[in-house]
Amino acid sequence: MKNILWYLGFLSLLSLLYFQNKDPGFLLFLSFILFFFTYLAKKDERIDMNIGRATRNSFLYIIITSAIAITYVNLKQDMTLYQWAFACVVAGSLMICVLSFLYYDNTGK
Amino acid sequence: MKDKVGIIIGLIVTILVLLTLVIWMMNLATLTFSEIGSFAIIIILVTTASYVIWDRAKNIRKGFPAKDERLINISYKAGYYGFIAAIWSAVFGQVIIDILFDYELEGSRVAALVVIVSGIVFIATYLYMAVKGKNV
Repeated sequence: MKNILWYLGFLSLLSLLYFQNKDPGFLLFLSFILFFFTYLAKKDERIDMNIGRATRNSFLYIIITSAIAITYVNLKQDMTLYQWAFACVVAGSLMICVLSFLYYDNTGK
Repeated sequence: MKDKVGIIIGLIVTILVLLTLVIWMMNLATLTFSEIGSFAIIIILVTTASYVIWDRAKNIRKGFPAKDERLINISYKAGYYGFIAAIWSAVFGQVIIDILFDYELEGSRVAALVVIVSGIVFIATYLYMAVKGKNV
């Protein structure tokens, strides 16, 4: 499996928008910088498998939570909830990815 | 048992996507060309996902495992590419649509775009690797 995960590190450059807008929310993009470290990671078949499982879990999380968020916000008719739903989907997927990887890596399952 | 749980989860996801589609359609006053295109893409995604679920259910009924080692690896890899597509489309989808079509997406459509783009990438990668047997 080609390592294209490290490209997500470039999203950390979006934190530079903080200097234009002075919105501290943009600084959260700095968390993507950790993906650059995956470029240097020594890879073997087990790690490949664990990365595949972790990202698969994140993908399923994104699909399920996005579908629930769209349904819920439309039922509530409150469009301001979208920004929170969107943050939950993106931030949650990154957390699921990291936690799943750590779980599979530590337990050897 | 694990295979049956996987099929049930797949069915729940399919129903959720269809429910989202129905609610989205009910909230639209008029159907534009881009919305018809989006519906068509979602219907294709749901049909393909249903085919994969049906295929696995058929294997279980015959007493075989729902998926073999190769299909398991393919689903991991397709999930990997789907996840990366979801993140990129979440961040840049709105900007690209704005540049290409001079149209600012609403919140609901950004969420829909993420589901559609990542779903298409997942299904396309899954089918490509399953049919060609290539290690992308």
